[in-house]
Amino acid sequence: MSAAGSATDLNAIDLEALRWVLLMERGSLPADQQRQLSAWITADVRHRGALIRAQAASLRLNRLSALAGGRSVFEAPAHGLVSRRRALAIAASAAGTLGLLTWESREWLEDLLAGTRYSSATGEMRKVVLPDGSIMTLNTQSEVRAHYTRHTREIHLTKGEVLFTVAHDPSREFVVRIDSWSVAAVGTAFDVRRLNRTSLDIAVTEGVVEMRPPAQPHQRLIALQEASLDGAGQIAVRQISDAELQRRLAWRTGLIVFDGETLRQALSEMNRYSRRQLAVDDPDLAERHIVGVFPTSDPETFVQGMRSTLGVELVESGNTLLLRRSH
Amino acid sequence: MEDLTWRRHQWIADHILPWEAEVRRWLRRYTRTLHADDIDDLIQEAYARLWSSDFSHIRDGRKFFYTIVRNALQDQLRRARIVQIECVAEIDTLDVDEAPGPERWVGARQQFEQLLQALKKLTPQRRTVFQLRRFEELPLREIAQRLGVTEKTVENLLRLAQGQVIKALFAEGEAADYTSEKNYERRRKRD
Repeated sequence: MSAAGSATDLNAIDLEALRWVLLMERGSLPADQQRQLSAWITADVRHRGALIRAQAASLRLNRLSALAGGRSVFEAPAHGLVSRRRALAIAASAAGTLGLLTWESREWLEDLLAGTRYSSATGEMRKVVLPDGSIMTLNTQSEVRAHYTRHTREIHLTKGEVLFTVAHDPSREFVVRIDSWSVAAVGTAFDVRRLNRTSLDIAVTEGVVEMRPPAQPHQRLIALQEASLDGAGQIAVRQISDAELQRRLAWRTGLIVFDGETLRQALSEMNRYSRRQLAVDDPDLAERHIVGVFPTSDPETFVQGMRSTLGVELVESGNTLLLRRSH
Repeated sequence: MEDLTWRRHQWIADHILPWEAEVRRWLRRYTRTLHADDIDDLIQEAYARLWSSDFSHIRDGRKFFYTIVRNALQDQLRRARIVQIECVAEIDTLDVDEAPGPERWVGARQQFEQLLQALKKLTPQRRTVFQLRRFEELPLREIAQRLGVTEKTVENLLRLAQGQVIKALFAEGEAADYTSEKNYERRRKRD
């Protein structure tokens, strides 16, 4: 392998990334260089990756270098790199100039690497308009990070549920990533729900999206289709009625609609919107089916409803409200 | 914020970087239609993607890295529009679970030896600059004075030296398990 012997075959992007890492290592970047670096990072996803890689590699290299014990291992070339006059100048200046290798705080850079973060608190619903006019509606307890470059529109959904209404732009695919899954669209609307690490639901309200699971064939979903991934890694695609879809997206208007869900399922839905958690420990009660429309912002209304229809009472303990049969 | 970011860099340095050379070899072996530049592209894109993932729960960095690279490869081919039949067929058979097992583990000490081997292959000037900066931790200004060159030149020499060393160690070297030396000992006894 000749690579270690020459620099000509080093990747140009990797070299540029390394230039930035070495610059940052020397101290904080002046404002104009910060601007240059952010322009460079946002121009191409490979730039961002190369910078992350160069930082990790340099970190590792610095650690390994400590094994040298502060001394050079190989002798410097014997002839002519240092003149006598220079050597004297060094002796005079060496004392004050020894710099520490610092990784100064640079949150602005980390924001660039991580993307713009949008999140919603418990019970909050939030609408975000992205630079291209696409709209994200975040349901309760959701978090995404957006990366826009000249050629890509990428959203990473880390948790929660988001409805995407995508502006049409055939030159830039709109991709939502969820771990190693992705869902791609050009101009359409779809809802992605990620409530825990193993579950995922994608519902299309308009147009077509392409679902790209890892290590499985890609699959197109059209309006009124819903794909669900269960804990065992199985994907099920089913048709849903318009009414069902509206029901599923009722959260946008601050409502939650139950139509035959079990009490257990209903409670876990309600609990997404509130700090005070509802619980049920009676297995028979938990399997009762319920119907009704409730505001997401007010679990009290839901509890009232359960009181009158199922004849339950409420026992408070700390932040948990336990539902049980009243005697 | 800073601590978290720092931990993420550290996590990538400890759990992803050690596998890069192996992943590159795997790509070369299974996708003959890919050019060396394509592999660089893929690796860069993979680092960008994994930074955006939540890896707080990831135990097996190696498998995680393979999965991300595989997905990036699929997306790249799709973007290229021209479907290279041979390549697609190859990807379909690329199962992460079938990826070769860890080829060989080296600890920090051995990797330091590899670093020295890589340094031997540098030009004397680059080697000297690297040593003065990384081993002796001298400031660039002082290195410039010692060598009788400008700081700009030192900067450039250091960048090339470090670039070559990174390539030799992490893009071409052997998988190094340096999350813990104990781990290495355990594996060695078992093998």
